[in-house]
Amino acid sequence: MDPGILIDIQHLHTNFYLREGVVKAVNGASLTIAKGRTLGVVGESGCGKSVTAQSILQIVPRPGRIESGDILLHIAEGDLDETINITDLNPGDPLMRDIRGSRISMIFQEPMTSFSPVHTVGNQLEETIKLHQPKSGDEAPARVLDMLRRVGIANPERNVEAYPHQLSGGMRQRAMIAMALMLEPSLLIADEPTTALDVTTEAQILALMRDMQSELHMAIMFITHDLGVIAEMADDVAVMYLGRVVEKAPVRAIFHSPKHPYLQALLESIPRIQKRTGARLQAIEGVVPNPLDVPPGCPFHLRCPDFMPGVCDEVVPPDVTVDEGHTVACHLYTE
Amino acid sequence: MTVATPPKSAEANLYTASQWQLMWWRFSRHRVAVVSMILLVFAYGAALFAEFVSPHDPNRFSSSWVLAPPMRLHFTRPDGSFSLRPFVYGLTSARDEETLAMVVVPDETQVHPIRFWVKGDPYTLWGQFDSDLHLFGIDVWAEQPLFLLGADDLGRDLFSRIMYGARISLSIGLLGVGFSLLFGVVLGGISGYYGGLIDVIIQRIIELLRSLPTIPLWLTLVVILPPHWSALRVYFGITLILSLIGWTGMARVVRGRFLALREEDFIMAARLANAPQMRIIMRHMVPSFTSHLIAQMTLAVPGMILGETALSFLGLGLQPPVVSWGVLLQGAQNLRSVVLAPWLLLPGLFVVAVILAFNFAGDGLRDAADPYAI
Amino acid sequence: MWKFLLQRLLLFIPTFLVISVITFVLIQAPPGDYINSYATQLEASGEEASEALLLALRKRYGLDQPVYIQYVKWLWGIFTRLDFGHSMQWNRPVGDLIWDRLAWTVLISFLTIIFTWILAFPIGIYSATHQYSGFDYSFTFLGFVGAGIPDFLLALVLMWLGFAFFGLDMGGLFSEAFRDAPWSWAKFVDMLKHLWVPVVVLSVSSTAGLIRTMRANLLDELRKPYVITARSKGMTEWHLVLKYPVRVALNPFISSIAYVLPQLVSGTTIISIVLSLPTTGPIQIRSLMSQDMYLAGSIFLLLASLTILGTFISDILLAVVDPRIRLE
Repeated sequence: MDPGILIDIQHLHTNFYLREGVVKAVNGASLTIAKGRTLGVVGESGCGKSVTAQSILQIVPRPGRIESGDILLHIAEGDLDETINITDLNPGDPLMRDIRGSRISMIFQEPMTSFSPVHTVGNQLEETIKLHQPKSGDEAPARVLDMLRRVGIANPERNVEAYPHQLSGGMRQRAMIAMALMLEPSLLIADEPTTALDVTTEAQILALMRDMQSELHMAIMFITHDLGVIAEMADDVAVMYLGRVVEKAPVRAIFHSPKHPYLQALLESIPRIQKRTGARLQAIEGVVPNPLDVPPGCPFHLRCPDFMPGVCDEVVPPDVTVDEGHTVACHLYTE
Repeated sequence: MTVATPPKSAEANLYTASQWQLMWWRFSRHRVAVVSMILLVFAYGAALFAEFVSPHDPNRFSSSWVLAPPMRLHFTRPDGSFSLRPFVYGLTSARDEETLAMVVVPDETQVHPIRFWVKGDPYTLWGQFDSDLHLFGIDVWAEQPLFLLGADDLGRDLFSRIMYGARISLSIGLLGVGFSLLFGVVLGGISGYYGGLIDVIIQRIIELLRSLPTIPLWLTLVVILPPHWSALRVYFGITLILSLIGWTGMARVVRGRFLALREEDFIMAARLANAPQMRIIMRHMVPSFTSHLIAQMTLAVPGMILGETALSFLGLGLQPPVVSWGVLLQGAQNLRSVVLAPWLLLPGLFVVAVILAFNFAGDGLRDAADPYAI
Repeated sequence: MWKFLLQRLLLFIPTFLVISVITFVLIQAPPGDYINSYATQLEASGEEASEALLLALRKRYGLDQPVYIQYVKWLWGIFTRLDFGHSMQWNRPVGDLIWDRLAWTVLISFLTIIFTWILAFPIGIYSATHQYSGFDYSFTFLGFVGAGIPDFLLALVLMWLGFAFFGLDMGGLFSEAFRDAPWSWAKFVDMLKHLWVPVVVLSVSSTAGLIRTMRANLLDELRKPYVITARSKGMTEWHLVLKYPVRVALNPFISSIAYVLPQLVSGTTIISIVLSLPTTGPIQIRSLMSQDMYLAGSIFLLLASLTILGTFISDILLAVVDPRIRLE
């Protein structure tokens, strides 16, 4: 495995077993997260980006289950150099629990509901330390205060005693980040962390995340549907559609030479200031297919302007490398 | 969560179905609720046609049949031959060899087949139509009554009495809920629509009423009904007393829905379109909570039935000769008679069955009430 | 916190006053007053009821005064001397008749609440965390059945089964031998042997209700994002469930005191008739039948105050448990 790689996801399948049928939320996705870099995962709701993240932590909610595929986690610390395949572990496995919160941690969209309303912020932050370092006892409160200060929470001595409902939205998300970074993880998964915030607070939180990243040298998996945030945050980008990764590239390539028709259409649909006034905004034709009934072949073929009958609706397009670090899953680029 | 938005269904007509159609689909998926609903239709049908369904006059008494045991339905004759038409044995008095008391026992020499559409005790259906036709019975009804569920301490047929009692007990449930609905919708509507001080006062009253122990309150209220009232007036009086607590639940639902709906975009849209207030309420708000109200009503009926049963059981509700399930259970208050004749507890079985049916049906309705929820 | 308590306490007082007015109206409602009934009673027993005596009695009980003065006097008597009036049927002060009976009502209701919690708490948690398992289904079904059986019917059936098949008399609170004996260990044990019957009978329907409440709330809470947060921190599943959602789902559990208590007091009244228990139930029914309104009214007043006190207690406990309420 490339030593610069932290997480390597290969052909991940995560299904939800509903009464109506099986939803293949993640349907053969592959992507990699490099150490210390930010991977932006972008796609519309239901494309499987959150479930991919949940699969990494093995916290896919019932009735969902990882069906097959590999999630390789590379741990290199001093002498220690090993690779763990997360999909080999049970969700309840002690090793898996050990990874959660200490090596990989996660922050969520709703900072209000992501904290327990009946425990103080301090209690919930300290818990993270105690869970992973049971002997840390006395120094835990001091570490909590220190971390709160680092994420820019004013008056940490008082706010550590506060209940979540007493903090503002931005403060709660800062506290959330503090909790996630408590044990200096090598990967922070951020699942639409700023969607619920106003624009000013969003900018502050994004800046905080970048600062913390350079301070702690961690990788970030940044999940969002907002291409603007991707442009601002990501080093690399993975574009997902209907449970598959359709394009992977460094962030510049994504915006300057998009290859997949879906990504091209997606970029077309962004309003631009320099465009002439009066022009209609481009929307992608059709709707996302029913996830219970995914079409054969390329998942996008029903909406694709370059649809090739007999090819796109029959064969799943393989990943094609078009440039260094730039792959796309589309028959337009296959030999 | 971005992914687990479960797909509604592949059928295209799902998107065009009316709200009531959607609710029916959801409800019909609830098998227990559907069965309960059918059971309730039967129960109310039997109550409506009690005269016809019961084989006997509920007040026909006879000292010869005091505490006669339920007759078993047989399909094999004493000689071992099979008969598709069920039959019962007649009863005769005999002396118990241990206690030396006279008891009523089956007499295997008398075979009475059960027949449908037979003549029996004459009756006047709904006080209008004279008839003597019964759904089922035995040929010798005049000399030998059919005791499907045994007889009470005056030798009256318990099954017939339960059928007549159903009329009172089941209708009190509906009527009480009707009263509750009236109070609940008016007061809950006022509370939710106007808000402010009126809302606070009504909410306080509801809270107070809900924190009172119901049976002691009902008992005390029942006692102050004037003693010279006719049975019919007492019946209405008791129903009113029962709905005195029942309306609070209804009012809560109505108020809650009103408060939620006030904020909804489609109400705002109607308001911006300058629709008159009354039209907004009747055309937009009421239809969107009728389903919740129906569910709540179904769930409120058992409380009413139980209330009547409890009051009459304690001897403070309806009084004999009125027949209700509670009045019938009064006969089971004495442990000695229950030990002698356990079938006196059977009216209780009917109470439980109806209450369960209402609860299951109401539960299914409540689920169906929100057809757009996942 | 203290402000909240004071608010609740201040609310308690007008509520009590409203109930006392209702009670007084109920007492006054039957036609004729207590002196009239007393006169009829005297005449029935062959004694002469002179006008002078009746007038004196009327004066003594203040019946010659306007109704609101009578109300204030009655209330004043309750507050200052715990004087609830006079029971004409027993010809004794109401207070003498009801205290120990009220104590039994309270004891049985209290024990039932505890028992209900002990049952409903673990079953509710298990049902919610193992949703749609066989265990969950059977308890959901049992819950429906339990909620559908009237408690007095259950008591009747239990009495009948006990007597018919085991020759047991399940009624009463003491065996024959101990009924009038002074308190002793043996009498206490004997009481426990009888006390479980009403407690079990009463707890069936409230347990069924509470299990459903607990399960529904917990299911709601288990879907909340903070559970996923806790899981993503690396907590073990049972630790997580107990620390977070159960803690939050405790609120409706505690507020259940407010509505379970009236149910229990109500239920105690009626099953006491069936099980012949020395609670307020039988004496209330008897007093109502003979229109002994001071006795009947006082019992109602005390029971209602009791359940309102229950609401008050549940409010306090809620504030203790939930910072969102406490710190509002």
